[in-house]
Amino acid sequence: MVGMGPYVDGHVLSWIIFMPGATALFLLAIGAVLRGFFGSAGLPGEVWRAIALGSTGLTLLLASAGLFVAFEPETMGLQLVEYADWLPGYGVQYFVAVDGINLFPVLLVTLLVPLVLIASWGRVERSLRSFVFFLLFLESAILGVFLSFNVLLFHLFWQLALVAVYFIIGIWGGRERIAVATKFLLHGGVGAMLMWVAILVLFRLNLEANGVPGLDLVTQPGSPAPGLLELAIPASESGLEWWRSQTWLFLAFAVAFATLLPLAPLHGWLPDALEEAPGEGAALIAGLLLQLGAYGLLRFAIPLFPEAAESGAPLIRILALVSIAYAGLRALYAVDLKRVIAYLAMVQGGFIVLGLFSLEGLGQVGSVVGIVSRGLVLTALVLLVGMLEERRGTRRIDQFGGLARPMPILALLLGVAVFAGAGAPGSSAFVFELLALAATFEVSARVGLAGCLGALAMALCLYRIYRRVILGPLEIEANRNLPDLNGQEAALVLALLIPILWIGLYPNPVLRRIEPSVLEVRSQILERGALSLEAGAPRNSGPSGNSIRVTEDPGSPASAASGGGR
Amino acid sequence: MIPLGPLGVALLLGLFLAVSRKTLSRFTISWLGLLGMATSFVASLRAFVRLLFNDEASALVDPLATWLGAGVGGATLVAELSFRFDALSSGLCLVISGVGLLLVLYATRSQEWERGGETDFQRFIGYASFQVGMCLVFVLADNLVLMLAGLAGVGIGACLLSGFRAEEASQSRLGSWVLGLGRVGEFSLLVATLLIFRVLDGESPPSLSIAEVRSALLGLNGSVVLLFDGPGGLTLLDALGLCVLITALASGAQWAFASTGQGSPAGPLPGLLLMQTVTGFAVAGYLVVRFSFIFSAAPLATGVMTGVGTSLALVGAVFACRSHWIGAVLGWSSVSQLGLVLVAAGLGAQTAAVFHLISHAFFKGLLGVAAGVVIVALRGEQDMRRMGSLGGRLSLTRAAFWVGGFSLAGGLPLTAGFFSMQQIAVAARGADPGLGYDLVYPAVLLTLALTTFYAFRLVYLVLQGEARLPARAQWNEVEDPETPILWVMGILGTLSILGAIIGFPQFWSDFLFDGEIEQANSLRYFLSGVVSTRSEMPVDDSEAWRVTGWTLLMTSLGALAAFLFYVARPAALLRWVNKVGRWRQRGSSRALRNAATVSALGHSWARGTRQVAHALFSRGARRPASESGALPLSAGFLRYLADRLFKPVQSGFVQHSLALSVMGSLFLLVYFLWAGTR
Repeated sequence: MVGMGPYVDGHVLSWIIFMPGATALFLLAIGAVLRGFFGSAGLPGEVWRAIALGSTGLTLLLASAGLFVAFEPETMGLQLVEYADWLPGYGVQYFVAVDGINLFPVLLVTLLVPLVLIASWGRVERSLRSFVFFLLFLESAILGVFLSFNVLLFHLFWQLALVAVYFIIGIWGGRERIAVATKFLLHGGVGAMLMWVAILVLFRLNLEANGVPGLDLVTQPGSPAPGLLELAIPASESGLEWWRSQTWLFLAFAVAFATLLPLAPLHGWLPDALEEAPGEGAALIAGLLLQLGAYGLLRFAIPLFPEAAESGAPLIRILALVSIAYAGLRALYAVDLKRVIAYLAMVQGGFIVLGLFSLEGLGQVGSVVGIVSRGLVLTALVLLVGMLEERRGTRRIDQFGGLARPMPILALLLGVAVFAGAGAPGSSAFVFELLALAATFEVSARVGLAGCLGALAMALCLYRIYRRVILGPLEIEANRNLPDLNGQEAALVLALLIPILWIGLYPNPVLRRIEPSVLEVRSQILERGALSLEAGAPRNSGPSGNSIRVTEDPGSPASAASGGGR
Repeated sequence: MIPLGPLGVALLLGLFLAVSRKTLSRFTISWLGLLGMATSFVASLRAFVRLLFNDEASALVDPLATWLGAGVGGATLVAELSFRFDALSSGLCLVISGVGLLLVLYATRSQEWERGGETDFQRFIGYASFQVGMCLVFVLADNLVLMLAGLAGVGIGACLLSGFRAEEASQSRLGSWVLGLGRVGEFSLLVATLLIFRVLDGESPPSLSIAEVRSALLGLNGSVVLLFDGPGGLTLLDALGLCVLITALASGAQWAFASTGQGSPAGPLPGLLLMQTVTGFAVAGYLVVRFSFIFSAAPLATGVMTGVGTSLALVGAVFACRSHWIGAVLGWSSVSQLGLVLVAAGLGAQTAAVFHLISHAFFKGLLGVAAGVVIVALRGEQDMRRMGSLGGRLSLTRAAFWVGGFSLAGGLPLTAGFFSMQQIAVAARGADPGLGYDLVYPAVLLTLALTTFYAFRLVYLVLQGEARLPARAQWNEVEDPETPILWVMGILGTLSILGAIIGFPQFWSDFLFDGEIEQANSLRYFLSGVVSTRSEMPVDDSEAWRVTGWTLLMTSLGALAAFLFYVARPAALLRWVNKVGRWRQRGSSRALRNAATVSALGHSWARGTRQVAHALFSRGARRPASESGALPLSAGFLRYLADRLFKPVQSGFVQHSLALSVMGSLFLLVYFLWAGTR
């Protein structure tokens, strides 16, 4: 990073990660000082919010200027690396970096948090200071998750994010907030615990293999320990050594990630959490928290345990289809608009999984687009529903109808958001679903066809809900005089819709930055596969040809011809 | 560059309305709309001339940029933002933008916007421009992904237009149906695209452009690629053909729903009807002709297409004979004509299909404008039973009705419609017998007779007989429209007749000019490089003349019947109708009762499905699952299951869902154990 001053250059990622958290701590300290030494009530909540907005705005600026501009597209490998010893005896390093895979998720986070802060203006009044604190805390944690390249650092940030969301639901939620927050923490916590155990195993395996402790994902020059991606983990072990096998480790990671994705049957917390969380909290859950799972699968679970991922892929694809079908049907009969959004999140999450576990580069690129697209679309929908609820006092679908007349701007914006949610061409969701489905078709035409049907069903369901809420005659008197969105609210939603349409209409700049990194991750997997072959470990070739293909397959027409049988 | 004009105008009008919340003056909107359409028409014309005098290239391809390109590892998917202007798309571009221009001209002068005022007018011009623009994108798209985007745009435009007054329940439901159907079509084209991608993958780089897809699929011609193994297997080309067919039918059905006034008591808007003739029809027809290279090697898909086309032609014609609304008659007639196009394409007569597409755009546009004039003059009355004797007041519109009616009926051996329908009949005559193909020819002849019948019925009911005007219409207010609309009718009428030149059959030319003209059917010559012309002229000249005789006979019979029932002996019809009515009460012809039967079937199916799903997935007992349905028993059983089995675990209690989660995790564990130990 050039031209940002000596303190920022070379540390831009740390600035991005810690700016919100540091602001939160700073505000806390100021409050304590004011209270302790001067006996005053501390800074008012509005000041907190204004300072927080400034801080997150600055983070956004840093991220867009520092990352997007300084990021070199078509360059493989990590960029803007920061590496420092933290607990070297335990292999824990402060290792953050950016590449094509986490570039856009980071931009998404830094964009969404200030928008949510603005949206909370005038809505969240209760315990405003704590709210701002947890919001900033959450932003730092999620940015840390996206940027960490040390497994334990990643896990730490992951846990922090769960805790922050727990408090946001538990304090500012609806009537059932405590139960729902507990449910959320149980789901997330079980997954995190499993991941924790798996990380301990990884630590031990790496220690055994190399003699030095190390938990970095990739080898960093200057570090004594090679990265975990170079570790040869046996695909399966028999007897008492079962815990060392890829299968178990992958499973532990995958459960944690699938819970947050969420994939059926681990989805139970999401509809309740969205329903009970405050509007802003729901936006953060839907927009940010859900994206962590997909990212974790792509960054950690699949590259670390490729053989297990490969042998589990058919089952996981089926699970994704089940998830899509189940969520689509539930959405058709959902009464609450926020639950519909939760089911939409599941459907799109299913497509992300399909893309990831097609184990084709195409699908994985699509999934990265999907992470961003899903965040944007869901946040826009949650905010719009929140605005509707604020005016009308309910989210029940049957309480609306004919809103196009009193609220034309809301109708228009919600229409665009619904189209984006349904994956209509011209929206970012189309790009991601197209890529994910194309890759799925490569692997299995049947699964792809079922996925297409799922997309169709969800789209029809969304259109139907849109018609019931917005179109038709205005039958309920309470809807007649609802005020339309004001300029601020419309601008807020537009700030989300513009990136959606931009990615949808001209996706190439985005894809160009994502592709090299996905390619690199895949080549690392391949190298690792070769390593494990050299070590004599039998490589699980799977029942058929759905192996991870990095180089061009010369026999493609033939494999396409025989593909139907898979 | 061609679609830019209308799209720009649509964007401009929409943005202006959204931002300023005010409408522009009617004058400005009119000129903007006209300007948008005119730019695209002129651009199409210019490109057409370039194409005509350019001997080397059979297509002008205009690659603008890489729109969507992702290529990692073995799989690449690249979609260029490029437009392809070849013989097929050029013809359709000219027709779409030209007729679109005339329609906007008509709309600027039509009185049908009085009710909603300037806002409605601005919305209509905006939507129509968007619709035409997206349709042009679709027709011009050089690759499948862009085509998909264009199709989605057409679907959205169709939804906006058909749900124009969204605050009315019927129209909003209609718009929703139309959008849903568009989505089905999109889905099916998406599946086709992905299947093609799967086949193309491995050749580097597969760009999904039409030319490449064509060469790749033609390369597969010898080897049969099985999509699904086992019995009931489907070859790839058959699957692709079926996908394309579903898309075509969905976009046809969109407009059929909209224009036949399904669920709309007021009937369709005339402007809507016009958009339908231009875009919906063009999209459906274009698809089957563009992908004729798939159909030429896909016997199953071709057979299905011919069969569906035949039945659509017949059913549409029957319903058109039964409708009382002037708009619905034209709408059902479009369904029937689409069926004929599908028959032609299914039999390999691509030229005839394209020719009929074009001539249909002309004469249906003419009839639509004329119908719009009548509807506006009668203050929104659409029921033909409340018209009659209007020929005396509307002398120029009467001429338009007669020309359009003759062309639709194919009865006047000088109109474009006559020649295009005749070519379809010839193709049907030459179809290989067997597998039900020998039923096609009689069905086409019957359709022709029915078509003539309803065309003349329309003309007679509107123009002849005694005046049965509704109370709100004033007899002395009924008069010919303003000059611009007359111009529109004049141009469309001329085209309906002179359009015959582009697809003049060779045997007629030989007869009239003693074989002096080598290539009388200029359209076939023009299209020969683009579509596969498998069996354009399957019968010899004498047989073709016999077919001509038969078509003339059938159309005359139809015309005679219409004349008898509606002019000479109206009482006879009444008696006959009463008799049919008594039959119907006995339940003999219930399936044909009215158009609503079709949708009623759909509704009852949907209701049954909904009950089952409701029982399975609803959270609680909000309403009894089986009020009155076909599935009370099974739904009750499912509900019992749901109450006992699913409801407790879906109650939102932590322990239940935790138990589910644990069970799911255990399942995963067991699987991986099993998979890992294998």
